[in-house]
Amino acid sequence: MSDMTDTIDAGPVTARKDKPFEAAGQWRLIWMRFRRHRLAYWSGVVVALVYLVAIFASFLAPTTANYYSARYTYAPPQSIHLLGTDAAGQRHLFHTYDYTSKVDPLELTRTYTVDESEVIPLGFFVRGEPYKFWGVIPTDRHFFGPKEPGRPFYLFGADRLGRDVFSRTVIGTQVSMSIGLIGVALSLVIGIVLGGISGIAGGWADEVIQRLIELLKSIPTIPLWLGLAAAIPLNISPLVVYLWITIILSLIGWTDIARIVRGRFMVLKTEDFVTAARLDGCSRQRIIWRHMVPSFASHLIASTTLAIPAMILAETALSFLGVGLRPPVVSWGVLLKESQSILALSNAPWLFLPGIAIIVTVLALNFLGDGLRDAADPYGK
Amino acid sequence: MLRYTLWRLALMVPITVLISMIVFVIIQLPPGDFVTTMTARMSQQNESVDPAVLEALRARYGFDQPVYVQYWKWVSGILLHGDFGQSFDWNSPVDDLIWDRLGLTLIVSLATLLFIWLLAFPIGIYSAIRQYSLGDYIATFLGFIGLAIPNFLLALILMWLTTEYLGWSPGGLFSSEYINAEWSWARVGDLIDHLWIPVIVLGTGGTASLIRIMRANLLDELQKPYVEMARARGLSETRLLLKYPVRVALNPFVSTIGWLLPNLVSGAVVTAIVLSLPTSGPLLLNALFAQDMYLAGAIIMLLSILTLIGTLISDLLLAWLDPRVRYE
Amino acid sequence: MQRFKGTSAPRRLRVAACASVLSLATAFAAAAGDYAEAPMLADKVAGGQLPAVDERLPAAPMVEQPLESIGSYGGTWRQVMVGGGDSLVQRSLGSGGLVRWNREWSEAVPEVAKSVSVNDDATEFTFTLYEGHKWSDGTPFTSDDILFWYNDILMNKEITPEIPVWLRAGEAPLVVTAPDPTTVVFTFDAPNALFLANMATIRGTDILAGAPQHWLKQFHKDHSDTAEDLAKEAGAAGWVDNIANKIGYPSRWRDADRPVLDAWKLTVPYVQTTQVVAERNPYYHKVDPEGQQLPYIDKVTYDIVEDNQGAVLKAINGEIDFQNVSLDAEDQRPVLVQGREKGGYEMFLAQPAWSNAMIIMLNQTHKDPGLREVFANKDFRIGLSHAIDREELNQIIYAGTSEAWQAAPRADTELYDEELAKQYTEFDLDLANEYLGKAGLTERGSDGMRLRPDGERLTFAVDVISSWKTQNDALELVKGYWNKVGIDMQVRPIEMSLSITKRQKNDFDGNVWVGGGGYDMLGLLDPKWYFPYEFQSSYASAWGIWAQNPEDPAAEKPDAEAMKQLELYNQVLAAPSRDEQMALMRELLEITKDEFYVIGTNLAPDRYGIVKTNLANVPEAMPNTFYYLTPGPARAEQFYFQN
Repeated sequence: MSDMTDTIDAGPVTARKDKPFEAAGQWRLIWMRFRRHRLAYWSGVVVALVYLVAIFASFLAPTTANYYSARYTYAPPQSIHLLGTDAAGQRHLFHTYDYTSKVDPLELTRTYTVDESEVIPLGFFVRGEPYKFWGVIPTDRHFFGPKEPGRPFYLFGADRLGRDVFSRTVIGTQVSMSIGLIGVALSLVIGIVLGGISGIAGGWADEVIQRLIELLKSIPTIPLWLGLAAAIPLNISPLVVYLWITIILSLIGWTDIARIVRGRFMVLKTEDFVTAARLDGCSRQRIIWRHMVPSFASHLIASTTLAIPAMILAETALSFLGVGLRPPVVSWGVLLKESQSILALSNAPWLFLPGIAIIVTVLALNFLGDGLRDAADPYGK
Repeated sequence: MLRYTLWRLALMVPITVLISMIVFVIIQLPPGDFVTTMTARMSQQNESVDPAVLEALRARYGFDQPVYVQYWKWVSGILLHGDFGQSFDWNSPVDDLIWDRLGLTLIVSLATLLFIWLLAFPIGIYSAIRQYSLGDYIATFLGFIGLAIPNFLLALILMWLTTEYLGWSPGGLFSSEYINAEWSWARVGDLIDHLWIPVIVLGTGGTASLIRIMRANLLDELQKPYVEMARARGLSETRLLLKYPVRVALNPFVSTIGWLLPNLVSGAVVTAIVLSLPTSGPLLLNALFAQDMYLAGAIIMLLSILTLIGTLISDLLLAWLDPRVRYE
Repeated sequence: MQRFKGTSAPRRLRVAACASVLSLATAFAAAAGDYAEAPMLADKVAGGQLPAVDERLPAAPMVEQPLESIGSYGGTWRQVMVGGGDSLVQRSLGSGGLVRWNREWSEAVPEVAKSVSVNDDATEFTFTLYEGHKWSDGTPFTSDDILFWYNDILMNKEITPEIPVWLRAGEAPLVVTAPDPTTVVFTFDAPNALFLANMATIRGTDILAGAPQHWLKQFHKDHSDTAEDLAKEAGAAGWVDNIANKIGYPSRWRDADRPVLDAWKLTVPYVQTTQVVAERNPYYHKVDPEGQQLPYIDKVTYDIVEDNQGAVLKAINGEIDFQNVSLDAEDQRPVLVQGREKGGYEMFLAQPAWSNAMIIMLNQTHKDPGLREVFANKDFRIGLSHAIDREELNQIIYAGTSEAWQAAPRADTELYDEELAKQYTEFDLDLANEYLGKAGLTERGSDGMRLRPDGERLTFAVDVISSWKTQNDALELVKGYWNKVGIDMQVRPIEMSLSITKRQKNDFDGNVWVGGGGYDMLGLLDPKWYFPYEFQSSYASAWGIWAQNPEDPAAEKPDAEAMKQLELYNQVLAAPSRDEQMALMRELLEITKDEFYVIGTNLAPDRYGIVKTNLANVPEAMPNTFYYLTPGPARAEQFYFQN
């Protein structure tokens, strides 16, 4: 038995254990190889940026996620113009124009026309809707937005309640990116422990864990999620629901990692350098932690990176099925679920912009993971 | 090899039993039962609900019995009589409901598998031999974009585009005149006409991982001395490639069927809902939401067993290809 | 006497008496050979597969006056069903009982029965049947069939453990007799004034579903030795289960074998298919004034989609001929209106019969005494009501098509009371704060939120069905409004079945629903928003549970006012004349007004269905509710496609 998804062989790991700087050398090699993989490198930059956005989301968003305006339901995206003069004759570096709108009594839709006479000056570090930064620091400073609080500024357009899609996308980054990270961290812990036991101990422990994995993997994920999600007690805050969802997602995610870990241990057990270490009289603990784990840590990182986008997508699927996160929590899955309609396709395509965010992030994470995986094999060509 | 096969087969029995238990627990997890669902439906119509009637219904369906009794009733029915029980919601035996849908699910999944292979194979080879070239980037990018777009989104967009601009009838696997028709070549043709949207939606999600595997395996093989050797002997690049490395790299590729199929079946649930496909997915989802427990249980059981068999086949294939596995 | 005429807008509908002699004008006295039939049936007659049309129709068939014009045969009425719920088949095929609603929804008029008469104290109802009326398989339909339903279905303790509430009046159970093959008499122990109204809802159609004795007997243990075997074959647990499935709603629509008296009969039932099909019933008992046997349309199909968006796409692609169910959500309307030309359809008004788009109910019989005390305080509810900005809700959620409203009858109904509809709907934060103060919520915590009289921080959750997009949005806004007056309300989206379970156990803080009476008929038949009538009266679930079953562990005896309302409603059920019913109902609503159980938000805005431009005889407007079985009473049998 070996793991099918993990078919990149580590290649011949030649014995370099005698050199004192072995670990550093390995990581440096990985970095060098990674730099060569341009797509992966730039994907890494994108991923870093997305996480940066997630960290400073509420500050970067021009307004809050649930600020709404009856006058601007389904307003299309506004464009940013350079160098304009407002009504008072003051010049501004950035500005946008307000809309005038008309309601169609039968369709019940608003038609918007740009009103060039209404200049809305934009600026950095403006005052706007009050919020709590990181949930603790109360402030009303936003990175970028209209200079006068309350003026409309819809970079990605508005949704059905006149909420700012851009702000919602930015704030959704928090939940979506962290769900991936926390979920993967959980999977990683369970996966390493169980996979490690399985790979090192072997025998009946291995058999039991392998069957457990097989069991979990053979139950179709969607019903498993549905059943577990339905079991989440509902009399709890949305934040706890969020943690539950994360746990549910990682309950299935750990199996892949466990298989990888186990496979690595299995292969390494028979490798020369491990045998040598054993003959040298190293303790079992030392062999595992000093010799075996470092030799596949990079590999693990790569696999982990590849697991994150899967979690992000799984979250969107759960939201689509109506058992995942629910409004007023804002995640990319929730936003996509809200835009999943013919109305959005034909009348308000900007509601799909959160989808673009998902696609870019998932792609970037995948390329990054692939790059890391390629690079994790430092003795390849 | 025989011993290994027998051992694995024997193991399947307790696992299946365990799965059946887990499945039953999953179905029972949400609060309420099918009678609650019926009440809910009446309530949604703003109808009045008489509790006495509900109690009578509960007793008739056996919901007032303890869980283990219900479980035994279900399992013994399957084991002793091959009877999956009755679907409350559909008012008919589960047997009558699932086989056609499972069949269509298999057709959609196999068609998708074929599509994935046809797409992933050449892209994988290309991006392995032209590693880090512009073509590699473009090819992998195309392969991955499908993975990155949530299936339900892609399905809705494709369905809308084909309806809005081509005037196609949205969704489904058959045209109106063939839905209730007997199987015929014309019906097969009609099915093929309708198959490509789901296949594209599902397939694009699966190509990425196969491209990745193909590329990685081939890269491994290409580094091996025998390739250098062959090259040194002046073998043409194409022949050299196809003669051994691709073949060797293909081995694990073939075994992907074991995990790809169940993934497809599971992933197809979401797509099938958007596209209104007559596959097992929407039936399962509705059964789960309606707490139609025997129907949901049967579908999950069958899909799970399908997955078990898939895993078994891929493991056996692998063991057969790589003797080391057998003697682990 | 009631003549069908073109329908007026539903808001002009009025209630008429149920307790008068009703019969239909059968002006068309036909001689044999005068009837015409659809070409598809004529072929079968010529081929010897069917008897001639004169033999299939009753001796003097019912003459249906078309809404606008005499039609011609042919075509398919295409509709779409979404997912598992299938009330649409019942609504569009099975809306005809012995009586049926008239188009205006003011009274029940004869449908399968030829005429109905009622005695003065509404205890005895006599139905006359058509002579020569036949089931869809050609077997005669007589009073014996109704007797079979009475003796073997209703009175069989196994099949019907408990006689439905609407058939109960007085101590002794009802008695059904059949003096001759075309006469059926229902006798009640006490007046049952709403009996005919109930007969026009799905409850009445249940009777006809349990009537075809020639077919049902084989499944009935008292009449057949093979009943258990047949049950086993069908996969049912036993013969009771089996026969209950054959006649119960919705399971009866999963069976194409069931003989019917409807205009169309299922040929492909909703099992194992993605298109349900029904074809014309060759024995349908109605003709048009020219003697053409109805229905005009040959076939009805229901394409099954799994997602509402699929239904919208089908509509704008011109694949739906007439439908409002699944197509009337707020977010579907713009697309459907824009797609009119492409899809070749127009819109028709399908006005929600309930009055309120979202009513907020706080459980005044809460298990927690602290919350109960707060919720039960009328000033508290008045304060909350004044804190809601209904005009903003109207603009954002309903695109300005609605207005502020409480859980009260719609304007232009007989029960309409402006004060009941409009009280406390004014948006006034000062007033709101004043009332909340009056309710004893004067103290505030460190976060500015109000404290309960017992000193604890006031916080509660209001449940909303997670799939109801509009209500979720609206309730989120309400949460913001209430926050401004220091009330911490949490929005809790939950599944429908969980919501039911919680209410049955009286285990929740509050919830929202659509509702509030609306039309007079609905108010009479479904008064749960006006007083604690059943567990779904979520403002006082424990009382509602008591009203249904005082023995229930969650039940609690209502207070004096609610008891008085229960008593008044019992008087309504017994009042033989419509004026008395209305007077009693008004008296009951006075108490409702005074108690102010429910916080209403906005009047449920008008909704629209779509109808193909070439489909004729379709009313421009109709009420929409399951009680009316929309679109059934629009009489689809006289719809036809113009060329």
